[in-house]
Amino acid sequence: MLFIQSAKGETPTRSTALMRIATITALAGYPLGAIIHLLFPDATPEPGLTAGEFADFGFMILSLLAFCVIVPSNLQRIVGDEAKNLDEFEMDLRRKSYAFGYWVMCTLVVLFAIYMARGVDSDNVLTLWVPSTYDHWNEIFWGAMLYAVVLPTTYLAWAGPQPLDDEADLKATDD
Amino acid sequence: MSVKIYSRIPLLRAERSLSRKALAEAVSVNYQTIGYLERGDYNPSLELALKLSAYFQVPVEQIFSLEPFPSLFGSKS
Repeated sequence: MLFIQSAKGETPTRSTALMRIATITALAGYPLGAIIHLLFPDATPEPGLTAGEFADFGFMILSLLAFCVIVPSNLQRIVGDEAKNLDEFEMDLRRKSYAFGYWVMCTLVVLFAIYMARGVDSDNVLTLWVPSTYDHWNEIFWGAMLYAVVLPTTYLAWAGPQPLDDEADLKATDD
Repeated sequence: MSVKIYSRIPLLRAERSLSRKALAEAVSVNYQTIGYLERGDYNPSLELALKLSAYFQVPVEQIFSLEPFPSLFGSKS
């Protein structure tokens, strides 16, 4: 799992609100961008961005920015750091977050398989879009990668324990 | 749902003027973990309970209990 630490070994502690916004933005922004890209394909050969491309890139960049907030965070440390750097409580949280991520990914894969089975069925009753080009599969691949990294952190941001007021504790006892 | 375990860590820490960070370093855990133990959000492993017991030099059952500890002022906490 992905976790990036500063050269000094510091991990910034992000607020719960920021982590919740970042995880939802990362998870929602990418598929929104991909759907807009699908609805407004790069049809014009002229230089410059169309409105569809602009919205597509906008959502994807927003998703990537949120991803950049998540990756060096304290919650991502629990998900992605080496096991030897975590204590038993953090390992317990990691197990729960992985279980959540695994469950959601499995559900999405099953739903995608059902959708594909229905989509390639040529009975002309229901016509569904199915991925066919390299671009389609490329976006699906990177979306799956993004979800695999962000889903466990999403669990910690939304269902994990609230951070404690450490500063108050340290001041009270160090005085 | 796991059983809530009551802890006397805040009392023992206050008695020794220890910060969570200092205690956490002594028993090799993150300082947030000490806070979650104190708050009853996390039940420690036997290993961590024994480490805390050794550090404070009191029996484990004087640090952790399945029942609320009696208050020093007579009523239950």
